[in-house]
Amino acid sequence: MLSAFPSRFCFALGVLTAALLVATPLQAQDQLRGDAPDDWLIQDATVLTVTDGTIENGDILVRDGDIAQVGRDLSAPSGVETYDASGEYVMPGIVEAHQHMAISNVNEATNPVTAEVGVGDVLTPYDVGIYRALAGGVTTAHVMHGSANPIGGRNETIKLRYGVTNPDRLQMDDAPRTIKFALGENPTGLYGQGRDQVPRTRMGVEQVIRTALTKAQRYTEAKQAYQSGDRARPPAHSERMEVLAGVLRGDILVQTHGYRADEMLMLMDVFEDFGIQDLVFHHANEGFKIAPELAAFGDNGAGATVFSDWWSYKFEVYYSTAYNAAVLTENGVNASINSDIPGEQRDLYLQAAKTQRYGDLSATQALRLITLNPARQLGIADRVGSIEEGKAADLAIFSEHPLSVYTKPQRTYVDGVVRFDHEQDPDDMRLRVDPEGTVALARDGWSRHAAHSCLKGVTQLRATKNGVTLENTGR
Amino acid sequence: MLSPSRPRPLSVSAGLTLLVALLLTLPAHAQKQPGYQGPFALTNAQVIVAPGDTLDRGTVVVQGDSIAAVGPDVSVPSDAQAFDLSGQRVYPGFIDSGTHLGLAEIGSLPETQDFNEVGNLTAHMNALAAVNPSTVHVPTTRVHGITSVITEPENGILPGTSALIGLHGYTPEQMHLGDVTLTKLNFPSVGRQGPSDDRSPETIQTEAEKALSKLNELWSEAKRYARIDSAVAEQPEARRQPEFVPAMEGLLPVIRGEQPLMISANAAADISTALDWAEERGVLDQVILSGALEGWRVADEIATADVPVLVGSIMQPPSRESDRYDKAYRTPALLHDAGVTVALRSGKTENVRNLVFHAGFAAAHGLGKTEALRAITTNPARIFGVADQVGTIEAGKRANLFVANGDPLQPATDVQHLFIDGYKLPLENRATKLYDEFLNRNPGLTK
Amino acid sequence: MTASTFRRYGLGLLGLVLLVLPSRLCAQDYEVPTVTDTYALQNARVVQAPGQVLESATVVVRDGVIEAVGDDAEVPYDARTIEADSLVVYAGFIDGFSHAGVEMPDTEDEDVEDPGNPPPDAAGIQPDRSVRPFLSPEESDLKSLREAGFTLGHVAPEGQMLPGASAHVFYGGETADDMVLETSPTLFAQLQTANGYVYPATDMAVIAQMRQLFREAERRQQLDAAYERDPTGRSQPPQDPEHSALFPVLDGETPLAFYADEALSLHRILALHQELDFPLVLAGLGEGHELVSTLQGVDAPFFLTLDLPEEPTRSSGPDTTMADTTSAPSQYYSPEFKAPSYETVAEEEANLELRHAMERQAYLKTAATLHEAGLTFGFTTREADPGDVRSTLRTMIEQGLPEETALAALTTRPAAQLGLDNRLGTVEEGKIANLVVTDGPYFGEGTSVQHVFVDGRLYDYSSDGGDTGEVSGDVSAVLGTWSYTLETPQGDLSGEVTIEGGPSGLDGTFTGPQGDEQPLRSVSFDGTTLSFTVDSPQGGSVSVSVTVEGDTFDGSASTSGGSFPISGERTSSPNATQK
Repeated sequence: MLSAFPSRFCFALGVLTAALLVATPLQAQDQLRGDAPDDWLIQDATVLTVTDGTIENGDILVRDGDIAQVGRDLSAPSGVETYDASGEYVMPGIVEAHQHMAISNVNEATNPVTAEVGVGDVLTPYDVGIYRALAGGVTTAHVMHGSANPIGGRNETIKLRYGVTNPDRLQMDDAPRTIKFALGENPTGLYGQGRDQVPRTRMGVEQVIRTALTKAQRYTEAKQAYQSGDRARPPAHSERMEVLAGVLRGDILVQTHGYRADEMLMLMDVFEDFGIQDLVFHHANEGFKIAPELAAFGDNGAGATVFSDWWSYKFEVYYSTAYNAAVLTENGVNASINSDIPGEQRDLYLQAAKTQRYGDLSATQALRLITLNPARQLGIADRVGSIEEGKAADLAIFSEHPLSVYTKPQRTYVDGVVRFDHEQDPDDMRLRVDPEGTVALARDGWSRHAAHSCLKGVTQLRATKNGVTLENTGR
Repeated sequence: MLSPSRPRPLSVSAGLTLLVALLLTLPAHAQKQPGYQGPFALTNAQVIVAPGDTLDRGTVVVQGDSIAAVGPDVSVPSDAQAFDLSGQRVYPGFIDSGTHLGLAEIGSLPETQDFNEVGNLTAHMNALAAVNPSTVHVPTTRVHGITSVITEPENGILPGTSALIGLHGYTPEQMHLGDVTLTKLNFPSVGRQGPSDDRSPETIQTEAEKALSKLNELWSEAKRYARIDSAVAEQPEARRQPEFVPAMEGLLPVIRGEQPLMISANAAADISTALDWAEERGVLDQVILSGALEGWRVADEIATADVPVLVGSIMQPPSRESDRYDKAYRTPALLHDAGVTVALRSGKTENVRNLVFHAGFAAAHGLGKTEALRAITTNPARIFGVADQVGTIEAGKRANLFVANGDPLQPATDVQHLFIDGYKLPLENRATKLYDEFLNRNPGLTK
Repeated sequence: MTASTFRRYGLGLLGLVLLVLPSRLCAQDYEVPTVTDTYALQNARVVQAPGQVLESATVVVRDGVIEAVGDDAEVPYDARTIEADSLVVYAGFIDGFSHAGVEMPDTEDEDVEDPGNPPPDAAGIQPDRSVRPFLSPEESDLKSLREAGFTLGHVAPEGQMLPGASAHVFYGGETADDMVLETSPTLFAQLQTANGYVYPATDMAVIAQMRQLFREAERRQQLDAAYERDPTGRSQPPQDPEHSALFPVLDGETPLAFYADEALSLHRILALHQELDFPLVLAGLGEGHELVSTLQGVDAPFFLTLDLPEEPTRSSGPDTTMADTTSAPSQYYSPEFKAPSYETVAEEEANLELRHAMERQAYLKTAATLHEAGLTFGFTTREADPGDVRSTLRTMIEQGLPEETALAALTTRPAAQLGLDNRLGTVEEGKIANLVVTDGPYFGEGTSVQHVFVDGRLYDYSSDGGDTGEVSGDVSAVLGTWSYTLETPQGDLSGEVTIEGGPSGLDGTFTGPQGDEQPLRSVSFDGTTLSFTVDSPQGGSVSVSVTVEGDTFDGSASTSGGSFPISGERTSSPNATQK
């Protein structure tokens, strides 16, 4: 087999390869698209702007990675690459509000409050999942701490610049900082049932959060007192309290894992007491039950980012409806749809399309669930989430309308750079391989259970006839 | 709820019309019972008799549990409840070729899970016995036109038998379709068992080889058991019954060639080994492959062996990090292109309903719409030996069919009417009930 | 790895064997007293520094110092003269980072009462510790590194995120005190989580904890300063050893010495370095080739690992054995490859194998890549097998690292990077007498180390006849892996012996019952009798002599105290393991 092989590939290709893979040091910053242009004219597409209707035979001019102009019959300035998108559809790059890909750690599951940790410190640009998401039109992802702790760590909003190897280059500049909170079965299962520690109940979760926020208030006051001379010395420095103080100031947006209506109402009460305005519930499977309350929260309402149709995988999602996103939307809640699980981030357009079956949302309403709405939830709607002049050229091009089940992503642009190309990309898009490994073994089957990473890094709970025990799944 | 067909809020007027029409024509008992039998006449509909065989405007008559007539100008019985379905389509009910439907209720609660028995060798377990006809998942599934599914046990090498069940019935027996029972074999694998499997390649290989030689030993023993059992049956008085070994007993129908052997294998090497294994043991013609994530790599071998494949779930990442991103989506097409008969399986429990979208993805990724439909209708019907009962809309077949206002694989399409075994079933389910209650909650914010 | 395994189990098999014997009773083993500490290496080729060679010169060592170097240097009256006509003298090698000579106490996994808020020790926060109390001249890795030419190292204690202060340690000496040149040049740090489910259990928490410690230490330093200015009316500033130990780091006086090989860890450490602005020493860098341009902007001494990836042992299956392509793999790999159907599967597999081979080569080239990018570095042996050091260096040189640079990275550069260049790194008058004497160019294939001077102390390997014994007869009769059983008064002990090599010489490893490995010395074979020596980590050695018959052997294992029956059986031979 091999003997015939070398002759098929010419030496020149080998040289190219050497440049691509054994990346010479100075270009190592972007192994795949180092020299790719970020000036484009995308022509003759059906442009789904999401904020300003649909433009048939529309053009988009991209300059320096941003959308410079949207309209018809635009002409390409010199030096600008063109892409003929006739017959194809362009939508804003998909924004995934809840993911756990591209990070080395998910949960610091040792303490019910770990506000000081952040997944932004452990980004992994090598995760091929980033590319797979691009192949589903995703351009921005909110990668999150897990749901083990009532107050978990900080999340990170990343742009899917697959090809870069410096983790910092995944970060989205100027995206507001966010933090993960978690309610319900995950924290109570882990700490209460698993370790005989508070919280074992939803009552406990409330008090863990209230206590932490109150301590942060006191911490802030002590610092202020020191600064104003009313206190002899500053309080002991606490990274944890510094972050929570940021939450109280409104600098850090709270993104809360929660399923049940009652626990979401609880947190809204807590936040009202502490004057915290920014709140997005994640999963929110019972969000439909309290849509009016969500919409009425604070000045801008509480957001909800939900699964399209996942349910029944645990008790708190048993009384559940796939019409959740539609009920929330129709009641004026800023709702979005996410996929959460690495490996499932590739068909968000299909998940959004399901709201046309479950609740008859309009195409624009459905598309907003995965573009503008999550962008608003993450505080980045000024840069992404719609096709508007001045925003980042994060664009997903599809063969058919993205809400059709028969559509296929053709190209995905991040900041004007083509990061996925259905036609051109080879099969193997890994940025590196294990030097001591062989050709990767096939994975035999794939269970949702094994993949669900909200609780990754947590000992698994297992109920037996002798009670509930913990199984260490390793870190 | 009065109406068997739930009115949709955003098409209120159409819904009302329909409602009024139904109330006028409903037999009295139908108002109390959620499902009822006809006769029904579905008129002026586009009838998808079978994938690739469409009747542009025709009538389907349902009588009792069967389709009585199909055609462009079929006469409508006078007592039939008639539906004028202009602009709508009638499809044969879809079949999901691999699920745990009915065997589990809540994923995180082991006490609600009935597909994982303890032990490696539990060939005597029957999934049908544990099917819960009242699971909340059945109504949410069938409203997408999915009228029957294979439901499977999971754990161990020989977890037991899978069954084909229809999605209407009050006992497992009522649901059991065509007595289809398949012995499942989880073939020893040289693949990784998911992302947390960090065994060395050598260990994986050794363990797989060990498992295979154990399986071989087991199979010989099962044949011996069957031989003794047959010998005793010939002269029951003269000969002594063998020691009762439940798992061996469970394997008898397969050993005797009376039951299909559903082999679950995903890695390419496992599939090749499994085919050789089955050929050596003379059971190749009983084999149905299930899973086959990497089937495309050995598509020629599968085609040569003439073994049908239940592919899926295809809605997952490819099996290797080095694989093209869309490989799993494309697997059904690549198998079909090589000449393999393909059916689709969702592999799900609560979300078997997504089978229709799986089919849509397979269609888009090379299989084409007609073949994709075959993979959830006629192909599984043939593979499971029930093509005379389900899979198409033909006179004499079971009335498993549904009416949609468009392409049922498209998310925006709605299913309008659903019939299983001639029962017209309500489209209500937990999802719709909660929607109806909470879309405009009353009281809202203030009491 | 080997070293830490020993530390973990404390006593290996050999230690046990030696300890159970009344070794003093049988006093055949005694040391000949040394009469002088003055040495003269006469007529040697002296590589004073990379590129600076005296073809025939005399080196005089006295009282631990190089007294004279030159063709006219006189041989003092009290010197022990070493005729060095055919020998080469190099400056002793300097190990940029290791745990050589360190024996950490066994830590029991104690239950932490509040895992989310553990005491500093359980969290791995021990910057107040020093490596000094953990040094032991008897540690086996010290010996094997010394034999490879290393004479001094930057040695840190083992542990988790902040294991303690390092020391500059001679790789030789009678006592731990002899070994220490300088204490606390750096504090060792790594992105290492606490043991068990204890905070910090993730890298992100380790990073957060680093920030916390730094900022609180900063606050305490300020409080201390204010208190010192005027203690009246102020409460005493809080104090604990963990924070106080960081003050010199905050002052920019003591660097944090981080060890990391993975590109991601390196990025994370550099981000922390930038954020907290501490002086940095960076060791490991196994994937340094992935972030060369980032490293170019970093002001820190670098120490590159002497551990290289190994070719994988492939599982069986016809398709995976074909890709032995390391020689020039990039010629044939196609990055554009697509496998549209089953017909292209074989080509795809071959192509991917090529990619693996290429990527492996990128690691072999790391040293050359860093060098070409203008980065200067020394070496670290932390993850290396001392016995492989020279072949690793040869590989690096084959892949483009200039020989002189390799030598500089072993001598002058680490001396400068560690601030020791006034005392170490070259063969010059007045420098500490750390020398490596070989019978040819160090990087040459057949060269062996003859003498090593550590702080003026001579370690003589010239009588070893290298490390290989006489070999004759058909060596395939002994090659492979053998399981052995050693009958001792304390019961049977068993483990494995692996014999490798060929007619030109044999070597191998001896694995104790706890899984601890030791290299074999002086392996000889005459067609029927196999003999070899194994050093005990506790000192002393065991000589084994057995008669081989087919796939079994029988014989005895002797120590200074007596001998025991040993028997064995071959579990695999190269014919079976190679395809």
